[in-house]
Amino acid sequence: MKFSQVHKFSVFTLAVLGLVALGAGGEMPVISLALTAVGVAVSWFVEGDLLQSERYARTWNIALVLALAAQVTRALFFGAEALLTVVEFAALLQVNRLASRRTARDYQQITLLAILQLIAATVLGGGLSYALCFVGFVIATPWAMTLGHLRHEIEGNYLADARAGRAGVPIDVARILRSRRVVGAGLLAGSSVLAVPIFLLTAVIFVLFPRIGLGILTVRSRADTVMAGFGTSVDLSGHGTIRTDQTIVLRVQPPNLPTNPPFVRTFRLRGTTFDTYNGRAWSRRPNVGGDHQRIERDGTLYALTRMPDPDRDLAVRIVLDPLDPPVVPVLEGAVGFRIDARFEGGFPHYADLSIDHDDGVRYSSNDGIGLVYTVFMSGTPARPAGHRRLDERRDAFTNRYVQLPSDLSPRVRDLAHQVTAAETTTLGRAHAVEHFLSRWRYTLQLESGGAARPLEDFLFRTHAGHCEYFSTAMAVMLRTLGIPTRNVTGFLGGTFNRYGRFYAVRQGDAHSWVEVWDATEGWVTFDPTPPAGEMPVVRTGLVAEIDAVVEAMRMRWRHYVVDFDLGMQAQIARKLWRFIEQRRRHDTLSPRVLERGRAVRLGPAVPWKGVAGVALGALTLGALAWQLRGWRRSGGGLRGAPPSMAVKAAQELARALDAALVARGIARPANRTPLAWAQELTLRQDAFAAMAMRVSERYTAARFGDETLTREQLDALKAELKSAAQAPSA
Amino acid sequence: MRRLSSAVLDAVRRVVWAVLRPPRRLRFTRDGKVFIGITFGVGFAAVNTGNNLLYLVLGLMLSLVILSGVLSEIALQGLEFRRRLPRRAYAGAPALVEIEVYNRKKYAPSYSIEVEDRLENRRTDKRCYFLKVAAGARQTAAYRRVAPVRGPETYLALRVATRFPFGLFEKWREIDMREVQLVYPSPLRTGAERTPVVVFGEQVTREERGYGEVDGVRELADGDPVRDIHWAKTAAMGKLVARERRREGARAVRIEVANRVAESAAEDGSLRRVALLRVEEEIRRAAGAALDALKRGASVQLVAQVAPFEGTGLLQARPSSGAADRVLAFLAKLPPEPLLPDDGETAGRQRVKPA
Repeated sequence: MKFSQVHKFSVFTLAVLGLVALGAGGEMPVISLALTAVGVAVSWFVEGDLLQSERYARTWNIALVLALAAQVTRALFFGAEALLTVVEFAALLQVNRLASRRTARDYQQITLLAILQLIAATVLGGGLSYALCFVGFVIATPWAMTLGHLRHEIEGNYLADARAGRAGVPIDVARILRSRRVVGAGLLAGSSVLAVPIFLLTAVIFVLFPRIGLGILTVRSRADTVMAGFGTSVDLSGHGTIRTDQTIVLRVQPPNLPTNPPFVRTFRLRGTTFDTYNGRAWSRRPNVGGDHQRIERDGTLYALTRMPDPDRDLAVRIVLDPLDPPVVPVLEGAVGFRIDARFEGGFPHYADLSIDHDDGVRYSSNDGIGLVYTVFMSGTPARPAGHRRLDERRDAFTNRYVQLPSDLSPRVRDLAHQVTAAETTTLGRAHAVEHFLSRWRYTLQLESGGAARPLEDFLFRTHAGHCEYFSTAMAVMLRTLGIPTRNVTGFLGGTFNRYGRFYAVRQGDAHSWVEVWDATEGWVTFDPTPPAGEMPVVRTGLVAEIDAVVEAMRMRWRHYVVDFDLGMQAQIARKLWRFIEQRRRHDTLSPRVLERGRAVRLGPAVPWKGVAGVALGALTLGALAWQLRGWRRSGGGLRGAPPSMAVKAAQELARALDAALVARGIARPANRTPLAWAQELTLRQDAFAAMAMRVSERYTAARFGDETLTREQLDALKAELKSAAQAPSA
Repeated sequence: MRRLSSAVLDAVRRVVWAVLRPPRRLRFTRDGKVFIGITFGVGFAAVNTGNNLLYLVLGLMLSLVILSGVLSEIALQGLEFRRRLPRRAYAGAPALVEIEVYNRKKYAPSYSIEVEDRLENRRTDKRCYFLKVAAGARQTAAYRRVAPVRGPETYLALRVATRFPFGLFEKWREIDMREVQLVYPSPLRTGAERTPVVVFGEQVTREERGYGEVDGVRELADGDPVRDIHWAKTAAMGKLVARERRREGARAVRIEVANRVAESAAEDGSLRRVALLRVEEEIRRAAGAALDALKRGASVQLVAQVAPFEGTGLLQARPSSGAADRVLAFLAKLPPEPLLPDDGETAGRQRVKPA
């Protein structure tokens, strides 16, 4: 390969990586990004005489001066953001260098600019795109710098005395740059392999460098996250959040996950509560009775209902992207939190958590990087924290949670009475209303959204809506009966990311439900939304898999790099110390001899097990490599055994059953088998229960028993399911 | 006593320096200084802000510096050097000095190796640069050395340096390789009116140079005309051989070399300088006259006014293959020590590529 070509490629790669890192910060508008991309692409083709032309160089200089003047003018007189103007000019400068590269010095300037852009990007954005750019830098920097140095030496040494050769023949630098002998495969492979030690050294330096943080000018990189909106009100005329919005808001890492955990899991993460309904929207009365109280803290532990016990309580780690307002979603049954301190100026800084009158937890943050916290769950159900304070202010409480809009239709009250006529207790009435509403249809079509009174329209005309309609309906109906209720928004369930081994909770998993006050039980959760509206939207296919991989990488990047601090360093040091201690104890048990009554070590014990393990590992790797070689030679591939026809047919039947259940608005939760769900439907006396039971029994027998399912039988069952699904509900 | 203690201290210092002196030494290049400056800046920013991405970049930059040290070490390892000095070197005239590098490493090539000769009390004006020395390969580069004055010139060592791989710093070490090159005075041929010679038997002037009967052959000397080359003998002996001709009447030439500096000029700086330059010119004329005489087949008797420190001030040279060298060596060693030109050794450094 020609020296000049390889050098050009490596330097352009580095320049593009620097520009991408800069652009990924999100400061540059699309038009600037597009112009930069075009500039880089065009400059690739600028070669030969044009590069040497003085007129061309002069034009560029004038353009740069004009651009600088324009940027300054924009910043000073047109209110353009100073950072944006600087970033844009830096990008233009790089394009200029790329399009004006003549000598080694120009190439070295491009490399330096790219490194400076990488540095600047640490402040502009530190997401996964930055991580990828950084990895690219680790690979491309040795190429560009090595070749840049060689080119510099060639130009410096060979131009200085062009007639210094013994034969007196002028030495042509261009000829050397065209040479294929200087940069061979060896040099390229060598400089590529350099990426490995550079990466390892970088990791070691990164981990070992003490995170003191003088804090004179504290600038943390912004994580590659979207500021999720956590509404301060719920308006029935619109969507709170779209269920198809796949933006991840938080990640839940339950402890002791099995090897194959369920793909979809339903857990409730409580966010904000609303107490005031004005006929169209829910809102929250401000500062009722001293709204926010600081949560008691002991070190890194925070007490919600009691101080958590890390040895006994179940710990669930949650990584939360920034929310606005900074709400801390809390799992049901949580007793407390742990939030590791951040070290700034060498001192730990603990997060401030506060809890409001309705048990909504918030954190104080203005850095826009979210929160990582561990929720401790007790084995026994805990009463919400608000229960304690509730007793102290009963009057204010009663008025607050039975508020109704003045123009509420009396038909709502009548309906509530009608539905709960048979019940005498608070919870019995709540169950009745919940059951009544949950049979209606879940839809994202805002069928009642345009109505003057959306709730009444939902209750008496459409019988279809999204979760906020159902929760509002239940809360208002119960309030008409004098039962205190509050509308809660939060998240329900998440999908498992097998690459990162966490449950991803997305914007689309935002949900609304109801909490009902019972004098004995305190606040009790009810969810009147039909199951179809509760299940997370599940995506499959290649794009979803890639998304999962990217998300897992993002999670790791954030955990191991962006959030790395002195606490984690101390943790690593402790682990290392523990490991050394263990080794030391192991050594003391190694063979000794008694000499003159004293135990004398014969020298360091040979860790035979370790040696054997390493040898075995090496052998295994060698065997695998040999196998792989054979596999590659044979051109074959490794594949798992394909499922049998019977299994395929059973799976097809299960899919048809699920589709029918969804169509009926009684979708099967992911943690229930078809048979278990059919049994539950039977208990609920659902009209579709008999059909579901028959099909699920057939499916179980075909999938796990010895029964076979012919194509004709399968088609017949599917046709039955289809017609039953389309039949009107009772 | 004081002198003794000073000598002891000096010896101790030399020993300590010899023991502690690192085999490799470093010097940051301009690019390296910029890079290190940025690294420090990033480090400070990282410590100050606690931004982990800055720590990451800091790690990358420090890794590059560390790796640069390792790779430059590998580039310098396993190299063998040889210096080949020219057979004859004349003051003020360029002569080729060859440097040969052999890469003993089995697999790794060495890139970007720069070799510079270190001379005693002199600066080198050129370096040899080897872009790539493949594993197990040998490469030769030559540079033109212009010795400023006659006399012995001591080559002390080779300074072997590399800025590979990133050009951040230059790492070098010196390899002791002591050799002495006797630089001859550059012969000066002048007209009869300025001849320094005293002739026995016949005046030797440029006009009288003639060519008589062939007396034998000898190795081609500097200044011999090409037409004197005996091509058949040259082919047979494998080196350039010239015909030696006998000339009647040119049996012996006595040349007196006026190399004494007048006492009146010894103390005065400017006068001494002029006197020294005049002596040098006399020596060059003597060299020219002696070579001419030898070429004409005459024996040469050189008589110096001041004898060298070691040896006598008299040289008898009969025409033979080594006579010219003997004459030139005698003249090269004559006192006084020549004056180094002001700019003689400060000429800009130039680099040459491998042959």
